[in-house]
Amino acid sequence: MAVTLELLNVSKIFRKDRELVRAVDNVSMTVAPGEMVTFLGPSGCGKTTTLRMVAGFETPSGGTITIDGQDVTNVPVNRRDIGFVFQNYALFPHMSVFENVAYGLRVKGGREEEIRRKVREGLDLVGLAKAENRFPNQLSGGEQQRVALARVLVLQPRVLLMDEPLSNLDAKLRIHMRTEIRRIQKHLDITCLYVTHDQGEALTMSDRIMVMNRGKVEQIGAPLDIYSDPSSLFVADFIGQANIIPGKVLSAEGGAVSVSLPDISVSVRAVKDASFVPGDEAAVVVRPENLLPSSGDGMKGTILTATFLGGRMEYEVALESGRTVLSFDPFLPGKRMWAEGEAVSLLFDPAVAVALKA
Amino acid sequence: MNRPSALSAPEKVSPLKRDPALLPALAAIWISLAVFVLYPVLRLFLMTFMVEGQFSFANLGAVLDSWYDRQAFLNSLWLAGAVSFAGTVLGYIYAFAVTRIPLPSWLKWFLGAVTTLPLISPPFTSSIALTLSLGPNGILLKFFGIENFSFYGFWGTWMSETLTYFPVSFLTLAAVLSAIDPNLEDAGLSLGASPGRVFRTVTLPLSTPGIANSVLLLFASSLADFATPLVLAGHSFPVLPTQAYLQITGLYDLRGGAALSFLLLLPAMGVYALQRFWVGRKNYVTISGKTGSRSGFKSKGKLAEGLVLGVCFAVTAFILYLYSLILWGALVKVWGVDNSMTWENFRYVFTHGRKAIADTLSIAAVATPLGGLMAVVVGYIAQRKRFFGTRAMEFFSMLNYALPGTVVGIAYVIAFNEKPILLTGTMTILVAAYMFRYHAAGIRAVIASLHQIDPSIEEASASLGAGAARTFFRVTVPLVVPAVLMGMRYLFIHCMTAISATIFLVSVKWSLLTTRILECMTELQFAQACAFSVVLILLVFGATAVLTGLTRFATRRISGEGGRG
Repeated sequence: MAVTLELLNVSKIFRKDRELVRAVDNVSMTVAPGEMVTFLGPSGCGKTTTLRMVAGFETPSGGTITIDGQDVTNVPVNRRDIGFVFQNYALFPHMSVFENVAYGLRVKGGREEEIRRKVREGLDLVGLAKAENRFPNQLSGGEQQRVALARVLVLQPRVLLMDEPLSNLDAKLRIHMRTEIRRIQKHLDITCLYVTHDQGEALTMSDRIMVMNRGKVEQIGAPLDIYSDPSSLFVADFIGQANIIPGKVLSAEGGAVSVSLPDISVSVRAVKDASFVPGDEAAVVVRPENLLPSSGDGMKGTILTATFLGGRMEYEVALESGRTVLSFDPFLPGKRMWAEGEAVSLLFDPAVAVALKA
Repeated sequence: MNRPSALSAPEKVSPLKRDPALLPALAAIWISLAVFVLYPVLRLFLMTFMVEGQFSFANLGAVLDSWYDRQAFLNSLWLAGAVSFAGTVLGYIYAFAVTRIPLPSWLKWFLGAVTTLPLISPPFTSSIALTLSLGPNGILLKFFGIENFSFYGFWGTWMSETLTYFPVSFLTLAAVLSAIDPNLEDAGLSLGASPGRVFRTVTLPLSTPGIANSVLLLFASSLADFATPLVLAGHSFPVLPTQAYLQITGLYDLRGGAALSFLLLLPAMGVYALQRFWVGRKNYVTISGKTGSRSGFKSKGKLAEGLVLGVCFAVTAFILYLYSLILWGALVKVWGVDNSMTWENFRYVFTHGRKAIADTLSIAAVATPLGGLMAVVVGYIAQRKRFFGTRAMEFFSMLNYALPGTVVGIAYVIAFNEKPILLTGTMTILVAAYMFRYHAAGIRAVIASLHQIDPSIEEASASLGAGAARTFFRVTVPLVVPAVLMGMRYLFIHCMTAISATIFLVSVKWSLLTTRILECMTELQFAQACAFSVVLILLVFGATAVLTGLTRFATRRISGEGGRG
């Protein structure tokens, strides 16, 4: 039975070179039973520290952490009933694969046949049934990763915590393991926190994403919402690629704002919980795939670079204001292509752009 | 057993509460350090500076007023400087040959193996062999027809100590040189520099921390060496350790001995401080970090290579000659008079020396496992449990090692000769002297190996539900076993061969092989001294072979980077 996990005003203050550093600053969130939440952010944003506090490796400086309604803030890690998958796997190098997976079961105690059965089941689940007598250094990175996963899953932990588990794998295997981990997590119906700095991983795997920056939560939401409705410039820039085009607010009404940009004026959606008045500075976020080149009306600019990528053309365009923007144009045979140095106009569909406070 | 499902009410968790086993372990360590490290040193200071209940420099003044003692102090420093210079040069040449010149691997192994001989031999070995060669009626003197040559004094001592201690420099520098990425040298060559210029501008500057470390190590070793000057220095070249020894055993002057050992302590502590706070920090940087793919070694020029290899082979041949002299000396009836072969000397060793053999072995057998255990616990707490007092604990467990053996010996004599802790004449005092002096290598090895083991391995164990004790015994201990075995090997070798501290502590009840060798030397029984040395070397060889085998076995089981990704 999956459980709820709750963080309430959790903070962590480190003392570094006699200065206090707020590594994690008032983080609150509730993870629903069986939900998979990703902590996403640049390195040093506090995502791993938050995860380690949930695990019990670090004690919060303030706030409480509850699992299934029980306050576990000061419960030692070995009595929290969590499963933790490390970035470097942390397999015990002096034990066989079987003994690694059996380790936690032996701590719990129980009959030997029972332990053997569970270990075999766990290794079956990750597709490593035949490797049980091998040692960690005889396995490839992907196999070590699976053993690390099996080692925590056989314990049926209430919460599964993963700290950048795929960052040491090569690109192809990483994409395969994403779906594999997600499949197992759904199959076992287990509440899961997943730390990553890879936005692709976060977008494909999670039910919800928590974007962090400098110890603070920037935005929590479903991948789709985060991508299409970034609540801050940081989120817009960090998730996917984004053109941030500054302009002036002409009028604002309900959820829509009219913004004057170089050469054009558009009416776009305003970000949630933001109120604009005419004359405000605003930033319009336009994804490159929504910014298309043409020879008609639009923002005037000059092509800086033109790169053919197979499925699309990528243009880097210098606007007359001096700002450089990206434009992705789907490629079809016979389509007009621009060369470096040519003058071009850029237009976008205002329905999928969003205005933020600058 | 901790059941993960049993969640207790929230509680404040301090490190001590998290590991209930930590408190008794800490208490045991601190009590033993207080008794066997702090207390003797304190008593030594009191003996030096307290005269009739008053603080006074009288004892020190008496020593400094004596021309002979002042000379001993200066001689000690001069000798240590000369030995550290010569030994480091020789060690660098050896290390360069092994790490930078393309040699067949069996030859590298051979060079390495020969240099370990002085490391595991009793301290008299080279002194005896040199005496037989260059002393009165020495065979080399006879061979070359040299007369009126006095080998005793500075030159003999310097030569013997250099040969004994240069392997330490070799090991230090070989580690540093092999950590330097050969690609850096290739880069220098590709930029147009000659091999000589590359050596001067790249290799040598990068190895300076190693050189500094080696100089300090050899300086400290020579400063503390007691056995070599006792045999070779003679009355014309007094040094502090032997002076202090004679003051106590010859004149029964504990105060004078204490003052002399205090004089010895000053430069020793200076060297220790330099090593710890200057070189130690510098050295750490070179060890970490991955090196790129190794390129083959480029030729350094025929002349330079020939010179380096020539020195190596000459010194190697000389070492082998000295050791075969010991063996030969043990097998002839009367050295230089009757050269017919006999087993008589070995029979003497196994009849008259049987007690010494049994005593030495039992002391080593008790001290080695105890020291290994201590090394694990101290190393673990020092590296993994940083809280108040751990730095001090690490410092005090290394203190006896940093002090010259003579100082430790005199401090023990002063401290344990009367109540409340009367230990003179017991096995305990010998075991403690060896253990608290030579477990330092084990502690260092454990700290270094824990440094390599990612803490996430232990966190993994905790997150799988294991308590602190289970994590320690099932995960941490197996991973540091190779380091502990290495430390135990070092401890065992020194229990068998070291003499400087324990010469003050032997008694009728407990004798040592090394002191028997010294007795033979002073009674001019060279044949018996040789036979004792041969037996001792073979015993050490056997024991180290066993411990090395165990280390290999343990290392193989956890080899590779399995848990480190």
